[in-house]
Amino acid sequence: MPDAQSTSRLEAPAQRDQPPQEPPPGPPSPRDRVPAWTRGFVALYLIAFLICGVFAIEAWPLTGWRLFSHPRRANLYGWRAYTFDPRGHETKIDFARFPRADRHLPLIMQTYARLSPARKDAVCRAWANRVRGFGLQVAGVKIYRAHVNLRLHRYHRHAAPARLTLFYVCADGKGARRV
Amino acid sequence: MSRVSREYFRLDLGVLRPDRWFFQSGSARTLAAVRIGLCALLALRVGLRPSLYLDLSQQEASLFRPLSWAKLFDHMPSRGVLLAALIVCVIAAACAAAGFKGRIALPIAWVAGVFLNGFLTSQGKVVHNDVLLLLCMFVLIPARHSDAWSVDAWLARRRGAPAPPDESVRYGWPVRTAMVVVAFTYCITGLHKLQYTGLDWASSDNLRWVLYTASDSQNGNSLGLFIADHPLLSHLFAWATLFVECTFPLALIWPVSRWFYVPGVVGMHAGIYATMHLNYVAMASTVIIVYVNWAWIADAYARRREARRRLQPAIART
Repeated sequence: MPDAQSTSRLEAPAQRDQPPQEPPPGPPSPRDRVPAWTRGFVALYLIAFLICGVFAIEAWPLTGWRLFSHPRRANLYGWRAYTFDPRGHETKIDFARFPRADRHLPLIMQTYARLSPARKDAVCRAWANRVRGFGLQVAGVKIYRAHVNLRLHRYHRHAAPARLTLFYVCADGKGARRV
Repeated sequence: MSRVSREYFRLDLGVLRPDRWFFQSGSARTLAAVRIGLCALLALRVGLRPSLYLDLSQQEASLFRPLSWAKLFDHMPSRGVLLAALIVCVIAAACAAAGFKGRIALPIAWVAGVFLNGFLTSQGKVVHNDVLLLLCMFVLIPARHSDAWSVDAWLARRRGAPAPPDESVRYGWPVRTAMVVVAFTYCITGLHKLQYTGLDWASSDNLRWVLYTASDSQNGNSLGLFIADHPLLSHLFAWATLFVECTFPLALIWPVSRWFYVPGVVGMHAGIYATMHLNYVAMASTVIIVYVNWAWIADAYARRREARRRLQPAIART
């Protein structure tokens, strides 16, 4: 129990055995008021956050929050890239050996079709140069569309072999060609 | 049962009047705890994974896929620039966590964090791992987050400055705004699943195909394969994910439901990591930092210590 000196305005001696009362209602002191700009900041920030979120606008770090939102089908389509030497012998590109920022084949292929021919060729040349760095002869790059039926995966540790369809050929210096 | 605990179980419809709900009184220590947690998390995330950011400089310019403000650049920054940003980010975030020059350090840490993660997300895919952390940190920039549990507050006390109040409207809105950001992040994520896939997201074999694909990218994941091989189990997890995500804003108006939603999303992220090896530890940690009532925990701990201290002489006497 507080002594007499510590008794506050809200806790008169007669009320010591009763629970403390709420402060009397009234406008908060100016020191305790939230400035108008703070209210504006919160409102604007939340509006921008919600607009970007709801309409899936990517104004990073404000983002559309599309995480696993698109449906996945049993027929899975992906991409495989191979280099070929002057004799036509193909070697699968091991993207895991590339620097971390160059490993993302599926991500690059999402927009590959929309790139200019020069830009497409530049992507292939970048991969070819990386593979040459591992000591392999490279005459060009072939990009295949891979199809896997995931229904065949059940009770198997690995997926059934993919069916490959050639999509692009980039022979060095001749640009990318859609097959 | 006390008045406060009864309210904890009731629906708090005050959120329907946002102006009052956001700007009601809050604890300086809770705000300080959120500052400490978010800034320490950013410092750890950036400081413990330097190669993730520094390796970006090796990317070929033709593979650069900028997003948002990164479109101002033609290619990834040089290693030197990334290293400088990384050092600035870690030091500033550590200073902000300690509350040393916090009002200056926190914005610097945030800008450096956005710079580094903005380039990380410019590889062709939007990277969401640290976004929630950065969005919640942004709210703190104009807030008085260093009035408690900080070096700045300790120095001010030593100079004889009057102690700021523990409860004030100045401390309430940043934490509540961060809570709203977290709640609607999950809600929007869930609603996009319904928008793009509908209820099929959970009622079809969608999650099974996701798990099989993720397992193949890891050269086989036993847990993921077990769930994918059992359609009922995968449907159960899919429905639970949809429910937790879409209804998360209930945690704002029904405080006791936080005991369900916070462990729910932490469990969801743990499950994603275990089956798909996607690390969303920053998102899960942000939810915990923002939603836990740290001032209450500190008070409870202090009460326990006090009770133990009082008990000890009595035990010694007997």
